[in-house]
Amino acid sequence: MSAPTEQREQWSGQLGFLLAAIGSAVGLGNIWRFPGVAYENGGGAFLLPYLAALLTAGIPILFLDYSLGHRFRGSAPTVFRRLHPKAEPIGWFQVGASFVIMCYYGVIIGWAISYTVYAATLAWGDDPVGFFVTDHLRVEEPAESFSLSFTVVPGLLIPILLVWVGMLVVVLLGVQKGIEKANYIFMPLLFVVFTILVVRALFLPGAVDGLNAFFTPDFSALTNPAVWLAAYGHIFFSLSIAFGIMITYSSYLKKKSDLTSTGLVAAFSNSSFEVLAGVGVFATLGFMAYTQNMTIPQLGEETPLTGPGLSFMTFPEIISSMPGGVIFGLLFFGCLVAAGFTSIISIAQVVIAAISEKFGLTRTAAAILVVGSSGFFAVVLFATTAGLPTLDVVDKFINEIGVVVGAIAMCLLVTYGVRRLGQQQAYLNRVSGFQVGTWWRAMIAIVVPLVLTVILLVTAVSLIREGYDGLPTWFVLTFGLGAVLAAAISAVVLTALPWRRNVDDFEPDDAGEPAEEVTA
Amino acid sequence: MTLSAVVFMILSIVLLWGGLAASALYLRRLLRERAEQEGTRSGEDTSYR
Repeated sequence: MSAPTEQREQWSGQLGFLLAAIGSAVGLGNIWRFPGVAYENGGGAFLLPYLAALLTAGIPILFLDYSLGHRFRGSAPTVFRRLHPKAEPIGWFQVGASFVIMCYYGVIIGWAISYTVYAATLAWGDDPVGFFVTDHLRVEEPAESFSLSFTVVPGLLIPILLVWVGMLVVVLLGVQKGIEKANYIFMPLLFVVFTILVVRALFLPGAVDGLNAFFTPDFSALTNPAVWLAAYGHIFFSLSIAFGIMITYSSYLKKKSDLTSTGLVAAFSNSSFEVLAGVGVFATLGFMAYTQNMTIPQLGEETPLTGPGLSFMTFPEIISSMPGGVIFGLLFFGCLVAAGFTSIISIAQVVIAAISEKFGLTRTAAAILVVGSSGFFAVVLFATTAGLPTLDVVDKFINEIGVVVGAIAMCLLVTYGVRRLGQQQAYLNRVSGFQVGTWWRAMIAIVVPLVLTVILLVTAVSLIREGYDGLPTWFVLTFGLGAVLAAAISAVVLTALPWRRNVDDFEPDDAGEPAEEVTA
Repeated sequence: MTLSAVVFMILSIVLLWGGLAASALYLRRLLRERAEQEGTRSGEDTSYR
């Protein structure tokens, strides 16, 4: 191992980190996932399990991520290795999951770029569903007989190239001049433009009916365990926790930084944006129901109210029938691009930091390697005629199995494996104004692993019994389970390779000032 | 809108946006206090603000 030579990059200050953390958390899911999940799980009553999940799982894991990254000053594999040498694979597993997510997430941002252009001419005409599936993606559904051709769709390549070039430029500029600056530009812009969209939606005819459907509480849902699991599952994915992002980001914080108070602001910003998105999306859906002389439940049977279907099938139809629809469409898809871009650069940084530290590469070399290879996989897997079902199944498995396994492993390791939970609590309290107590330890040691294990088992049983979305078993196993296994195998292989930088010679300064230790 | 929908809409906005405002104000006060402490101690680097 060679001696470390480079000073670790830093955010310019706490605001830069905060904006980047919010930019990472606020992504496509806030706009297209939360409104639908809330509506399908009790409407207004979903607020109760949502808040419970935020306070008992989301914020505690966020604090744990922050404390690990800030105290051990490194990317996920470095941090876990410094916790215990045998824990390094957990870090690489999180990096592997991030790499997979990065590949397909960028493709979706590419779709949003295309739709920003399409919106100018309402190019989807009077059949947005057919346009999205047949004209834009040229989807070929997988069959039981193993027939599937991964033919690259040329029309998807230019927007994907734009995303990857943009991502490369930002990460090459570094933490402060690249990621922080991008968030300084995109986050205020996103909040302002999205607020304009929401206000516009509120003045559409039928908007009140949409809000009625979104907020009317169904208290019977609160007795359904699946609703509580949906709330925990959503919070977990929404906050960008437990897949290395917050560990990596907090490792760039200056030594005198407040962790818990910053975490609270980031978490509540993310949730506030989700509620804003819920208001905007359901006010808009109310307008659609009004124009089609339907109720929202009837509309939900005819058209997707969540996920990519909401954005690329339902919204185009609404935009076509709306006064000033072109401008609304440009702003809506522009918001998707901005929200997605600030998230994907955080995911990319997880992988780049890890590769750079392990192999002693410069930021430039690591960025080119990671961005280039992810771009290759994005094109050959997700920019093809089989891209949509592949993306769908990979997203399901890597998020609901891969990331959940990584989170459970992290909580169990810190609590029972290396028994450092008390130290992490003391560290958080030493550097932060908002103090965490025994409640935080109880959440990390008991509640979070328990709830996540139940979520994992429910998901696994459902996938084994029912398969996924009517897709052939071979396809689900190859791409869904394959993605998780690829992350796991890469974790083992990368752990086995020798470190080119000395990351073991490190002692956290527990006087409240973490050692100004190095690595890129 | 139904009364229950109005109540839950207000509750959502108050709890989540209120949580954001309260935590942001708390962080701001905390950072200001720290900066003042650092400043009075030695005039050393307070750039963490």
